[in-house]
Amino acid sequence: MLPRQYRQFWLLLHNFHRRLLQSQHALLRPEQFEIFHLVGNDIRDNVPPRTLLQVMHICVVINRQDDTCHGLTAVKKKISRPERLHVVQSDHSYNLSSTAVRRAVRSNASVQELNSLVGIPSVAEYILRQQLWHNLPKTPTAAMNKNSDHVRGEAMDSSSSQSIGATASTNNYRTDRNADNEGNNNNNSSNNTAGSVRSPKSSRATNSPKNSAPTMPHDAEWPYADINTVTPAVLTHMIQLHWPCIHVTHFNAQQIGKGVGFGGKVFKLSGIVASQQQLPNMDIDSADTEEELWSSFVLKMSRGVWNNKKTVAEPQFYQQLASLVRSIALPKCLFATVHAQTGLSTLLLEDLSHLQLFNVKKQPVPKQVAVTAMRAVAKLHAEWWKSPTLNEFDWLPALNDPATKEGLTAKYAANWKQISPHLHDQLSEKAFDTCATLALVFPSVLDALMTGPSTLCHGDYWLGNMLFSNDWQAVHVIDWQSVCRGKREI
Amino acid sequence: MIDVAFFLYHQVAPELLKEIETEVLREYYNELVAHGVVDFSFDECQRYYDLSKSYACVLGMMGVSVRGMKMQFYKTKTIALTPKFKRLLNTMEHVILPL
Repeated sequence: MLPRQYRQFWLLLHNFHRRLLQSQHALLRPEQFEIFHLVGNDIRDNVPPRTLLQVMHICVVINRQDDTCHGLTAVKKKISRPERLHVVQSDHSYNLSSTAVRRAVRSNASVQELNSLVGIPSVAEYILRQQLWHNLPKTPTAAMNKNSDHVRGEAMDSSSSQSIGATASTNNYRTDRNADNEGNNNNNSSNNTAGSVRSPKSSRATNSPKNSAPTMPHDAEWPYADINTVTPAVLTHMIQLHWPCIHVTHFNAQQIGKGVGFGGKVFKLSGIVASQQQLPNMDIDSADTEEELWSSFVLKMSRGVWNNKKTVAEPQFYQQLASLVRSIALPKCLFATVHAQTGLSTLLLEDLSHLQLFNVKKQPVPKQVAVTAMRAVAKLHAEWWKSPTLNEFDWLPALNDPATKEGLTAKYAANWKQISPHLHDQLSEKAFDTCATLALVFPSVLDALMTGPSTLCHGDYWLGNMLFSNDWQAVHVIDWQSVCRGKREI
Repeated sequence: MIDVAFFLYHQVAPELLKEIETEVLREYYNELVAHGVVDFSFDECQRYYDLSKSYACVLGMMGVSVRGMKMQFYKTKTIALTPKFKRLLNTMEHVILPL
């Protein structure tokens, strides 16, 4: 029997095989597929190759020449059939899981060029054909937080060692999956009804089983900008990496944030009714394979514009960076997608409403809360202190990016010009002079700040973005749309 | 340090901040060191914190509704800052800007 932490991954593979078998590859058997897994930490921490090889025919791991690869190479020497495990070490200047492949694909690299990074022609061809690192994924990508498993790149038909057959198309998968789900709905009785919404009167049943047509939106419609497009089938799709056997049939959506600080809408999804698909006939105890379905989620739909500036930092943060942040508590992200052109984005997050906000309007902030907040952010800063890893995230704005500099300076100067004539009697002379000077020298302030050690900053660290435990000793930090970094470290 | 300054200057009452500022900053610094930060003195921490105050001030100005203030002026012939924003701007008298 597989260790518990790997069973979910096994289920993902099983689901993939099943949907593949239901499509045009019905003649292939699961053992004829290869899975390649372009992540490093996940292999090391969550899904060791020994486990992978228990459930798949061939495992290909591509990573930089770091400890992960060294460890995997050592494993390869010890396993009984080392030809089943391929460890591809890329040059240290590349990170195949993110930077190198993405850059190559976006610059329209040829198969040959991409293969110079990947090292396996069939894998390079597969990456290009499936558009795995294009701006808009062919299948919605999910950003999973720590302790979650990823399957990136999905699977390949390995009936030929050099050419890879096409996988099931996205539309086929969706149709098959829903058809399959419909068939299972009648047979499975393990419904999971989650708690009700806080304000039933203001909530609405956005979707009901009768209007949850088994169709998924076309790829071009990702990400969603309208709550009405989020059907139970869509929610099922969003959570499938975390709960591969769950099929949502109903939920309520209640708007909980509107135009507060960012351009978008936030909904609480609750009242969830779901059925559980039949588990595969394996030696896995179904009750022990999955975490219980959460009773509610937070869905954040952003227009991608904040302070009149296009911003996609938050979905990018959850897609690429959040799973690496270990030092500060933040909501788990089950699904994150962003449209590269429009900036529209959708996030499905853990609902933290059981935690408490500190209402600064009702009472002044006590020292204990300030200390908790400072300790929490210090851990975040320490974790990323002078970290060169931050350089890999091109989208992560620096404090003194020209656009930030110009935007903030211009707005400050304009507002100061308008109100300053009326402030002489409200500010001390020195404060007035400093504020006036700041309108002229703020770019220098940002440059001076950039001389300090670089780290990851939340950028909007205030009480409205913090959720505390009952004793105010622990804090979760939300709303990462202003996340930024200091200077680039070499 | 912008997170630290932004939080303290936007959320903590000036009277309390005056009282606890150094202590809280020291807590922040100690936590940095406890989690592996080296080659960063408390004096440097203090210096970047002071610089970050002006960043907090500028971000505070982003939230100013000039239109609202004009309406206020039209009605009352004066513009009164909110106590919080007034305090924030007045703290700028302690900030030394890089010129």
